[in-house]
Amino acid sequence: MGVADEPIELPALRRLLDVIGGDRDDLSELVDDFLSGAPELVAQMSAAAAAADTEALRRAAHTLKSNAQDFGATRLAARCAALEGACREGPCPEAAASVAVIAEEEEKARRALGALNVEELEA
Amino acid sequence: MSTSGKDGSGGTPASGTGEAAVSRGGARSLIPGTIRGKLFLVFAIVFLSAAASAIIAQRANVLVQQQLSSITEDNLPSLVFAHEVSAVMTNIRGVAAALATAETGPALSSRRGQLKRHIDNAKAVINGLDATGVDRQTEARLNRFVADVEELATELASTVEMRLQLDEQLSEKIQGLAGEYTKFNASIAPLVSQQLQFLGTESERVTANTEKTVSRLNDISFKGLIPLLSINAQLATMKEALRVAFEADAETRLDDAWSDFVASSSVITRNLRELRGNAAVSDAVDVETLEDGFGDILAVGIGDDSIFERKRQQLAQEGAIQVDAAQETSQLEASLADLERQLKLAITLIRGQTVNVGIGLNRQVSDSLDAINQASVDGYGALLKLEALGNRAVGLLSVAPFVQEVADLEPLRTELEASEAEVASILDRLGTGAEVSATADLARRLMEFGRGETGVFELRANELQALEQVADLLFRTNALTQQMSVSAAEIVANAREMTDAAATTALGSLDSSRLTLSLVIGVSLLTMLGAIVYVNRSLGSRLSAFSNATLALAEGDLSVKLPEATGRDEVARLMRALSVFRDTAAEMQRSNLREIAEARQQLVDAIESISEGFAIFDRDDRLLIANTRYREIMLGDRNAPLQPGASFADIVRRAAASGRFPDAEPDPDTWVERQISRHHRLDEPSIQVLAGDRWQRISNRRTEEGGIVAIHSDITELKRVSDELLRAKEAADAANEAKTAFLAAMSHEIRTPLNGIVGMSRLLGETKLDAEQRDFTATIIQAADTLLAIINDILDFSKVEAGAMEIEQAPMDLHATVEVALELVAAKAAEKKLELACQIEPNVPAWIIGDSVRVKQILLNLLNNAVKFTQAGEIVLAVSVLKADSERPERLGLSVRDTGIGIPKDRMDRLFRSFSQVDASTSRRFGGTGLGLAIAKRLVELMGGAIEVESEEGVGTMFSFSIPLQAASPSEDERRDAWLTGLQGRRALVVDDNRTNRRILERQLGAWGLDVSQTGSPREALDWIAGGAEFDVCVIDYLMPKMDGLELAQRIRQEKGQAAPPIILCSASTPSGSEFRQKVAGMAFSAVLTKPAKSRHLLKALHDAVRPDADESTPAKTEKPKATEAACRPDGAPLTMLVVDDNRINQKVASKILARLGYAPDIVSSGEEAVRACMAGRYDVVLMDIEMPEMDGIAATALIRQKLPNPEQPYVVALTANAMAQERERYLRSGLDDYLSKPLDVGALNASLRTAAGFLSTRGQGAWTLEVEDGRG
Repeated sequence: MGVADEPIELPALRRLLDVIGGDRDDLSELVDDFLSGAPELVAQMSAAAAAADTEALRRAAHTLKSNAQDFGATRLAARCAALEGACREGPCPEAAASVAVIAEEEEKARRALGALNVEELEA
Repeated sequence: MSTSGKDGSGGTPASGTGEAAVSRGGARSLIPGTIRGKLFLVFAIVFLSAAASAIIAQRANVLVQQQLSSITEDNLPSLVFAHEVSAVMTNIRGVAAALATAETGPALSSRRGQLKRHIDNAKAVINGLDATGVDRQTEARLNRFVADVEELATELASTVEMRLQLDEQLSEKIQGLAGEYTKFNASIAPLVSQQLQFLGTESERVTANTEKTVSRLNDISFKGLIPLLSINAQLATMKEALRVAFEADAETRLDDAWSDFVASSSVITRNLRELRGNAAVSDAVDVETLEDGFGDILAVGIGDDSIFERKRQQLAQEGAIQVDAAQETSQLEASLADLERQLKLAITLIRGQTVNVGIGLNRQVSDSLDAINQASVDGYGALLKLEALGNRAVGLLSVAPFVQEVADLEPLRTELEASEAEVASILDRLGTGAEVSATADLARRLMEFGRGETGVFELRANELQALEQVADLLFRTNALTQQMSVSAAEIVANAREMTDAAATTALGSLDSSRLTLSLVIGVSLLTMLGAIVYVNRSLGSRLSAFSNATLALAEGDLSVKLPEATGRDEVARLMRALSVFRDTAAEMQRSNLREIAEARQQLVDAIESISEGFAIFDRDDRLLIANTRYREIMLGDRNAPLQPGASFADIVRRAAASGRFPDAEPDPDTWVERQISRHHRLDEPSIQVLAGDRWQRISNRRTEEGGIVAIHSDITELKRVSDELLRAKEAADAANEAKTAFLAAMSHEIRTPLNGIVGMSRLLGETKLDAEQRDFTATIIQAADTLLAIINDILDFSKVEAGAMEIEQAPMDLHATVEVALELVAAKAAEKKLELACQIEPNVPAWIIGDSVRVKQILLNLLNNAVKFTQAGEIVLAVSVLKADSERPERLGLSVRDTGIGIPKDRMDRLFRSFSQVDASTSRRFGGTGLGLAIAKRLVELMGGAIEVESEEGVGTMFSFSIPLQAASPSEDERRDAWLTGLQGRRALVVDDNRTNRRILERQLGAWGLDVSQTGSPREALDWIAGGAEFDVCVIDYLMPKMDGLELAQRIRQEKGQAAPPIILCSASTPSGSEFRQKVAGMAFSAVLTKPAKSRHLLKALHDAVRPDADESTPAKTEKPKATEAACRPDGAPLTMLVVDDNRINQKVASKILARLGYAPDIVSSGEEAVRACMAGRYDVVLMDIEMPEMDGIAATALIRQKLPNPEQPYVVALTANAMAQERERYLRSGLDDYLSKPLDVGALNASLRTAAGFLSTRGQGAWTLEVEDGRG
């Protein structure tokens, strides 16, 4: 119950490892992809929020949500899902604030994920 | 003049009583006092003058009439007589002229009769003259004229008669002439043609003679003369040749001469032969003599001792024989001369003969021409002449009847006589041959028509004379009648003179009458004029003064000055009456004004007494009246000036400026506009906030005149109360939400440790315990279970309350659901010795669309309640189909009836509320949260149904609910279970020579509950069957040594006949080819499987074989292989795949998962690329991300569906992170085949891919092919 305290939920990450066939190198590669891609997505979201481009904002939030889910960044995923839902409803005046929170979460998640040693992840 | 006209017309109806007025007024004064009297006086004058004019006109008229009638009586008879005489004379002239020109006897006699009648008529007219007063002398003259006319008429008639007779004779003559003429023409025609024939014959004869003579001439001159001349020429050559021969001193010259001689001699010989053949020549010439002479010459030149031979010898033997040249020459010369002479003679003869023949010819032709000439002139010519003369005579005679003058007849007669003489001479010339005499006779008779007394000419002469006489007579008759007309005209002239005199007298008297009449009329007019002037002065001016005053009063001016009422007539009386009326009206006006003021004051008082603001506006939105409250509300001051007539817009503007309306502050203009538009909205009252947080309601009503009544009510208090209520409700809702959330959270948090308690208690219960401990443990378990049930209820209820309960719509096995629910309460019911029954109507479908868990939950709740509240008796669960009615479609009805304690009527309404039981004691007695029914009710409602209860205390209770009914087909897994059930205990025979295969089959079938007998030998299998072994199904291999599957199947069928079990054929490799297929098809196997057979296939085949009639709706071809390895295409290769995702990480994850599962997917990053890739290469499956920029997955799928042909369509699986049930439906509707949520679950992905493989294998292929190809996978 409730939102996990840790930025990264390890079971989710394990599940991902399992799904892709248990190859840790593959997982490392994916994690690197996420680490390099996520800040870019956040930047896109900031720009879209500033330009009041709801659709672009929604799409970026969706993508980040999807990726965050994969890597167990549940809180980040939840924030992104909320923003995506809000954008679906129409123009979202609180977008800038949401993006700021998301940026914060993203950084936390990225740090946690970066610090994680994939090799040590229990199968 | 207009005034007088009006007076005149008004006077007419008054005339009836006029006399009385005159008699009354006349006694006092000459001029009457009243208007009526005055008008009567004027009328009397007019009447008198009109009467005088009429009398005078009447007298003049009578006088003229008398004079006119005297004219008529005196002169009319003589005029009539003159007219009659003139008419009769005109008639006589006309008829006489007609009579003179009559052309036939009947016409003549009729006209003669007419003429006689007219003459008699004339006589009668003249005899009637006595009466007219015409003098005797005239009468006698007229009588004489008539007698003369009669005489002339008689003569005219007889002359005309004579003329007609002559005319008739002449006609007859001409007719006779025509007859003779025809005969003449007829007789002369054959003579002429005979003569023509003769001429023809003659000329033919001349021609023939001439031709013969010309041919003879030709024979003589050309055929005779030319050979002779030729002979003459050749003779000269021969003579020269001989001469040369004589003189020749060399042989060569001699030879030349000889050959010349021979050539000429042959020409001469030929010519002589020709001459002899020509008869005409030989007649004239002695050819023999010529031949003799020529023979002599030949003898000199030809032969052994001819001159040439001798000369040759001489030349050869040099002087042996000397030719005597001189002698020889003279002799030869003599012969030649003789021949030449003969020749010349012959030529001369021929020429003479030619001339003779020519002369003869000339004579002959001349003779013939003479004969022709003779024939033509004397015969043919005479006849033609005679015919012409005949024609001419007839022409002359025919013209004669039309000659108009006697003198013109004479030349015709002379000409005819000349013709006659000529005819006579021609007839003499023609002689008296029998063939001519008839014609001659006719010619003479033609001529005779002109001769003598009865000749045509004489007759015409007489006729002309008669015509002349007629004209003369006619002229005389006309003259006489003319004279009579003149006499009549004289009579008329006399009469006219008399008439003129009488008319002059009449005109004189008419003139004098007219003068008198004019005088009378003039006097009348003057009198009338005087009367009019008087009336106008005494009435017109006063009446106009009266009417002006009346009009002024009518317009309401009661202060107008009224004219003086002078005199004693009607006008004076009117004036006095008007002044009385004026005074009365002034008094009434004063009293009305007083009353209106009072009424208005009452209205104002009433309006002022209303507590609401009240105002009335007219149709132009101008204020009529407003009370003080209205001013207070609108303008903020009860004494603010507000005049009637102020426009609503002005008032609102002032209101906006007053500061009483907070809404008006930011934008007064807009506010004012809104108020004005609201002002006209009559249907609903508007609410307005006032300064000081006061509220008013404005309602407007339309008045009958189209104005508006505005009522402003102060609703501040009302508003305050309603706001408080609203706040209270919001607070309550919030509290309820909080409660639900709390309950959910709490229940969840409690459930986890509770599960632990239950689990541990059970574990504890299984350890070694003493009786007491066991009892405690059981109590703990029971308590924990109860607690868990309560918490589950609370959780469910809070979910329902929060709207978080989702009802699934999936196929469910209704029977199973009902049975499970019953099973769960069966133990408790048995404990209480209650009868538990289930009653499902046969028409209830086994499978429906619905949420089996929730249906089961509802049933369990109801059943549990029933068990709980029933001490003895039964509990019946019934399921039925409720027929559709006008309000609802067909529904499923479920009910639970018990024989329990029942529910009091007054508690029934609380039954379905949360946390409520029938009463508190019940709760203590039976336990439970009291949430069960509330949850059941919500669930039923969520399913779109309704729940209700019937109960009687002490008798029992029945809960029943209905949900929408939608039948469904069972899901695959459910079917599988059903099939397995059907196979339990069935006997199967497995025949396969491969031991491994056999054992696999044995184990598989055994696992499914079949009773398996297996053998590797078909023979043994047959023995078993022959020995009486019974099997429900046989599974046999195709390729076996000694006896293959087909043969074995045949033998089994032979053995068992109709009772043969169904047979499934398995084949390791399918011998392709139509022969095998035909054989197999002919064998009617219940299934043909490819080894190794997929268990799913085998199960289906067994099921179909054992129960061939069951489950018809799902034929074998819809079956799908169930693989644990990578799903494959029908050809055995792994499915080709395209992953579409714009998210790089997702792409990687998907490709890694798929690679692990044995696929090699292509990857693209956008919808557009996906469409292109699908069109370029064929993919079996597309994993399509939904969320993509530009073209999303749904649009891309739609394009792929649209662009690709059906057989190439991929199986498209949606991938999305948005996991909502309603989304899923939307995807499937958009053409996507399946749906997977992200993060991807390997199991779900595998299942979807297997479905895809099944889909691909069934697509557009027959059942047979499918079976075979499926097996290879």
